[in-house]
Amino acid sequence: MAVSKPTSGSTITPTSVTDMYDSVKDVVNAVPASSVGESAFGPHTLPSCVPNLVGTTTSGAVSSALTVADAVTITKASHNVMLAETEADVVTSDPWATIVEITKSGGYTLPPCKVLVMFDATVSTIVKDTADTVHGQAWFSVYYTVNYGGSDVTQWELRNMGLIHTTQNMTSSTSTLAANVLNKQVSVWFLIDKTHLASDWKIVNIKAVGAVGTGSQALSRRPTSVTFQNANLSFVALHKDS
Amino acid sequence: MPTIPSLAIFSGSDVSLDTIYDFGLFNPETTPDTLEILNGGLDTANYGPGDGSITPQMCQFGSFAMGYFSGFTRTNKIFARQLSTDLSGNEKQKHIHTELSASIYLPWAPSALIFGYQGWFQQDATVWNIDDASNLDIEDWTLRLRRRDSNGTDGEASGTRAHLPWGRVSIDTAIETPSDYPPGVMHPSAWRYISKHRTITTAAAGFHEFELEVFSGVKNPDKAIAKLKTIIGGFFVLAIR
Repeated sequence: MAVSKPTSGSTITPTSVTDMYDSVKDVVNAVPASSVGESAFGPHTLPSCVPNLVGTTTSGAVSSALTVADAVTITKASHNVMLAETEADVVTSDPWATIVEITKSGGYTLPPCKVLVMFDATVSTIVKDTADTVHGQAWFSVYYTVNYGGSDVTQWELRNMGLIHTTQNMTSSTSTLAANVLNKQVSVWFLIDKTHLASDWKIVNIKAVGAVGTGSQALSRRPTSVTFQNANLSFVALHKDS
Repeated sequence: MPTIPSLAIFSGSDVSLDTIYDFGLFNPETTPDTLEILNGGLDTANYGPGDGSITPQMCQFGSFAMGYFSGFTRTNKIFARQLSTDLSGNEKQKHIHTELSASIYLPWAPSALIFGYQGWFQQDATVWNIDDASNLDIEDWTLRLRRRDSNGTDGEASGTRAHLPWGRVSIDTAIETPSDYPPGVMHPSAWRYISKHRTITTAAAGFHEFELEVFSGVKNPDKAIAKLKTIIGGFFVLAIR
């Protein structure tokens, strides 16, 4: 491209500046997409693919962790079998206890985008009922609440639930060793796709919740408690990919 | 490509450098709509079809994200005796799990740095002296993920610790040769799956080192033969601009 340079001795005016600028602008604007070479753009040219929270310079990525020191012990249960638990049992009417959550007053306002949600945790112990040292279970579920401009909407899905079983106590010739320690690993990762939206939306919160159960045994035999620790709950928003 | 508008810098007949700078080159308060848009200012408006668009082949690899993954399928073994040269003691020392550690360089500060490890582990760990419930000798293994960077960060990544429990019990004390191995909280032949991640939103550009530290709680003299096997595993880092 050519830029008209001022001649020696001439006066530079706003017009001559805009003429130089426009001569470049006209060339740039006229470049068709088909003429842009491969790998023409790099990090210096392109934006982040993580959108900022709307109206801020804060990236749409948040994480919350649970260490050994702040382990969460849960005693909550509604039924003995996990699949008997309804969305209301888990979320509203008699909700499971929170393991770890991401929440913010006013919510996280995002443009239309995809959000990757990641949850890892360790079930460190299940303290079993003395009447049943076999059937203890730890349950967990990850769900989120969003807002599209009206009332909050909770999005809960059965597929984002899980459970682990406890272990039978060990019996020796003279004593019984209560096998409460498990240290079993659980993970739930999923994607929230809101690229179809026409306007901004909010993540009000994302929660990982837990409860205890027995499976085939009566609810009265449910474990005394389950303890979660060493957990991470994170989300990262990503601009649409097409 | 974006449709760049004409430059509006008229403020009388004199050239105003401030006006040129604010309206023609860079104004951090607004989305650039001048030629400055070519310097990091392309945005979602350019994703659409037509001549004002950019397509994947126009972008350099690593423009939006950089990733690292190191996976392995050949068993890694760490023996408890590697963790201490004092075979008469029971003190814990750490060993770096070389297969589940990494060092990477990030040329830019990411919006999100996601890292973690996954693996199938099989550990030798026993509860000794089970006939004396008040005097149990419990063994286990601990994994801790440590992160260091060129900006002074050095410490355990929150929430990424894992414990590998005992897989067998014995009526013997830890100073005798074990005579029976009924399963413990997991069968000793079973593989224990661990998957841990951490997301950092304040990571800086530069070098980042990740080390999975292995601590053994195995007692002497079992220490001489006990080991932690990693059957299959992988370490990953994903940096998103």
